[in-house]
Amino acid sequence: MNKRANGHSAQPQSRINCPSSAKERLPSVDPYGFERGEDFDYESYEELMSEYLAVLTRRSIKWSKLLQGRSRVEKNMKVKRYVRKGVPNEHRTVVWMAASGAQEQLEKNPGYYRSLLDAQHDARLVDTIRTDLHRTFPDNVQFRRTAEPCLQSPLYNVLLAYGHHNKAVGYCQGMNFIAGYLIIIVKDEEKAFWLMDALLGRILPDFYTPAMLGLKTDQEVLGELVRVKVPAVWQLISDQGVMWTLLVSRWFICLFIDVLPVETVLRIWDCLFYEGSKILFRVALTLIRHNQEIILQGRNLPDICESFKLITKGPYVEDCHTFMQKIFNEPGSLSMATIAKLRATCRSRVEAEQS
Amino acid sequence: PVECRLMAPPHHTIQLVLKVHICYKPQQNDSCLSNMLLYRPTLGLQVKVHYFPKTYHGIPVPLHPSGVMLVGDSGVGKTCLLVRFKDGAFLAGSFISTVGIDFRNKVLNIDAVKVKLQIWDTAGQERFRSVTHAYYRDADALLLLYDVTNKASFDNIQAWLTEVHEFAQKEVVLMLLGNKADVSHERVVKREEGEKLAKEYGVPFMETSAKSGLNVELAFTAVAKELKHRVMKEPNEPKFQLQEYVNREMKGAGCCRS
Repeated sequence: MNKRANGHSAQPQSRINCPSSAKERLPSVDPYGFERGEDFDYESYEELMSEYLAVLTRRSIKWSKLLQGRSRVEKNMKVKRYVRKGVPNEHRTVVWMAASGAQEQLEKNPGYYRSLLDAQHDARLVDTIRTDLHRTFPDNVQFRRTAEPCLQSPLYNVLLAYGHHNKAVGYCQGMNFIAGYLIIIVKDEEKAFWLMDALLGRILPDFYTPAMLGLKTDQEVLGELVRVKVPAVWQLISDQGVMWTLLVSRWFICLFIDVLPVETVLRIWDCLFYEGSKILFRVALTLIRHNQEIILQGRNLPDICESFKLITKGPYVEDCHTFMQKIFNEPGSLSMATIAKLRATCRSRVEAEQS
Repeated sequence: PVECRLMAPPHHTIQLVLKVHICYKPQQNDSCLSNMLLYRPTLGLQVKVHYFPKTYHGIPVPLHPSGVMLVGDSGVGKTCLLVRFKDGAFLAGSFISTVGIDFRNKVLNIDAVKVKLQIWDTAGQERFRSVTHAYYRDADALLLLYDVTNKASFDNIQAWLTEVHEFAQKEVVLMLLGNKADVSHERVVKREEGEKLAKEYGVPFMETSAKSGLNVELAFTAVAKELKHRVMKEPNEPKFQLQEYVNREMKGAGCCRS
């Protein structure tokens, strides 16, 4: 597994044979085990990576200096800046664990994860999780039943343990993708479990509980932010009577997995673990604001739905480094106070609609 | 800019067909519509589409797209059924669980009329229902699926029907489908049980298989026919009998055994 998923060391042996095209030079599976589809643009990826590799190397040196082998990350302006510029893959586990408080929980609760797995299991929970095991990343070679080791087994364990740990949530579709990504990156079940706990328990609002109130609230919050920051799009969506849930529920539930390119998702998660859930609004607003021309061409509901899929693809989001700079400029100021206020207003609105 | 004025006597509908050929480089996962959206600004086209869901002296007029929604428990094969119908493909083990709600378009030719179906695929897990049921009211048809190898998914059909009656339009076209009918060794819901339940609720029923393709086309065609008849029925034309049509056309899962 280490061999397959270790960063960006794809190219070296290629020089010996001098293959003529980028497609021949690059492997058909990405560093995380995802198969590159038929439509994968090898040429532009190679071009992009030739620049991004330099960035990664630079960041890697800086991070090694900062961490000096410690597993502690302070919260200050410098580290925040570092995180926004990207955590190199070899430091991701340490930084995510430390910044999210997962490391602290892991140390405070030795053996807890194991005890969850050893305890009696809820049969319904087991069934629900099993239904999704073979439907989690079938395009990733590490999740194939034939893979050795097959990541379906740690995926099952992490989801099962989490479902018993947080009974109010249990298992919600979408968590399978999040746990899957965590396992790919941290390569350790117990750490993945505590990162799930950090995400679902502290960083994100209640997206995954049966009532999904946090999700419904944040979708409305995004609507309110679009109303202020991209009024034309808000107008169109209101005129057409399109509900935000239809357009963005996957963005929130899957934390952009399978919505944006893998590398871009990981860069967003760097900030998510360090800065919190506000980052999700920044990403959503950037996508909407940058692509408002495309969205505004839509004249009916299917058009609009289609345009919201379209804007999550292409060079703008593939160039993760530039995209991550954009998300801090494009939407303009976005204070935590604004978010908190909007969340309170929208939550009472959602609750009123439900009763 | 070209200005065009059309005059019509009152209560007449004029259909203006503007055909534009656009050359685009097809990209996988990119539907034609996506590309159109991309190039529309470049072409300077301001396209506004109006639909007139009426007959015009018996002349086929393009119908307003109909919303068809796929519902049923998680893992019964809603996405697979849709992909089989849309692309004619079944790629075992290549589907991811649907989160939230998704949709695909497909145009069917029903008796020389183009019927455009907007098919909504929904997440099956219970907690997502509160997110998806808001779209029930817009659906013209609902395909309710269970998995013949999963008893719980069959038992939940009643709960689904209750939900449908609460949130969907009164006159929604409803059909019950027992999916995965190709799997004979793991089957736990008999065909007769499905038939009985469907009869109880007065809902047309058939067994399907996204894997073998059994009755998949038929399920959607039957729905499209019913929807077309509702909109375009001539006064003296008999009512379309959905169940009769289905019974006539459908194939059994084990047709060669009896």
